[in-house]
Amino acid sequence: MNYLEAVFNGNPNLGPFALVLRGLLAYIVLNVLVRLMGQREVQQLTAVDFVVGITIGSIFAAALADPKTAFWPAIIATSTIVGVKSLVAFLGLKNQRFARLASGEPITLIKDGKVQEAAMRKGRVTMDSLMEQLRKRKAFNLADVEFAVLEPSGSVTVMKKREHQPVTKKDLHVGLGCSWYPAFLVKEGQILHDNLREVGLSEAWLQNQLGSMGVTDLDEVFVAQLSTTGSLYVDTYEDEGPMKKSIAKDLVLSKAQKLSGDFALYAEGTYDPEAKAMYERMSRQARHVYTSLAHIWADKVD
Amino acid sequence: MTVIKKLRKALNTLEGLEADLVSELDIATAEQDKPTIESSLKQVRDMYSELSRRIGEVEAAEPQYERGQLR
Repeated sequence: MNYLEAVFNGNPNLGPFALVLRGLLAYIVLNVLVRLMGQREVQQLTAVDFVVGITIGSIFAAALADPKTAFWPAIIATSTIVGVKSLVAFLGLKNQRFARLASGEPITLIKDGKVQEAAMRKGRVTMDSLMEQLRKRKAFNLADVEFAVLEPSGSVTVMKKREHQPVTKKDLHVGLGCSWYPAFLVKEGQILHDNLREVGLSEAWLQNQLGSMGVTDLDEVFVAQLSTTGSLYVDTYEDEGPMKKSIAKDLVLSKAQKLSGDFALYAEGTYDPEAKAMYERMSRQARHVYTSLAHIWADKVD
Repeated sequence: MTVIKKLRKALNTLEGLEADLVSELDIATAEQDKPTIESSLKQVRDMYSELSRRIGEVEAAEPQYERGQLR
């Protein structure tokens, strides 16, 4: 008991084991405190977050390195700082004005392509540092920028003018196809039933897919992941040969079936005889794709 | 849902289907299944180009569709 008291209260005669014990305790306390502060990336830290982090680190560093210094004040002081910070974050969630007061608010430095000198002064941003931030975001000419905003974290967010923005699939009217949640379905030979339920697939379906890839024993599987396109990728413990991949055949069939039905509906819904004939033809084609694929995959789908 | 939105949705499904069939051809598919998949892929691509063309036509006549003069 006396020994533990000495660890917490400080004692010049504390040995190395006591410092190891302090280090262990500090690690646990810091982990708890960091979790209480919420998960954020280092780049997302505001100036206040940064100062709080440094303060906590300094307090613990002093208490850890010096056996004479009491350890418990460090725990109380850092817990208080984190408590106040959590309270401020909580109040900020309840009240937007309070959040802006506590964490600062974004400042628009360039608006509609024009530099806002007053905002630059308010954010204490020089033209050189603004240009540096713009260059980091691949905007080398001021003329290319529509908006630039100084965020509370100190970073600058840039929106380029429309003509300088990269072309997207939407601009090109290119479809994105169906999108699935990329879930792991098997890890180290164990089926992840929760994930399987979440994506709406059954264990029988999974076994069927694995069987079609020649995997008969789940113990052979290191990981199996459903990709965003609905394909199943399987990595077995056998490292020779390519990674196994299978498409979800029943999903492919349901797409073909749906297309056939949709085109039939479009044919019914149009007054244009040419379009009607085209939709009817496409409905038949999609139906044909469905029946052909269903025929060759008859033994591979549920 | 507008006509164009419906057609684009069908176009997306066709694109997904095309990607699936291309993947299936890449994977070790039984040789006897390949002609069927290739022929299905060709049909899907035909439907895709025909539907893209139709979307272009509908877009050109969009004001008339909006007024309900065409369906």
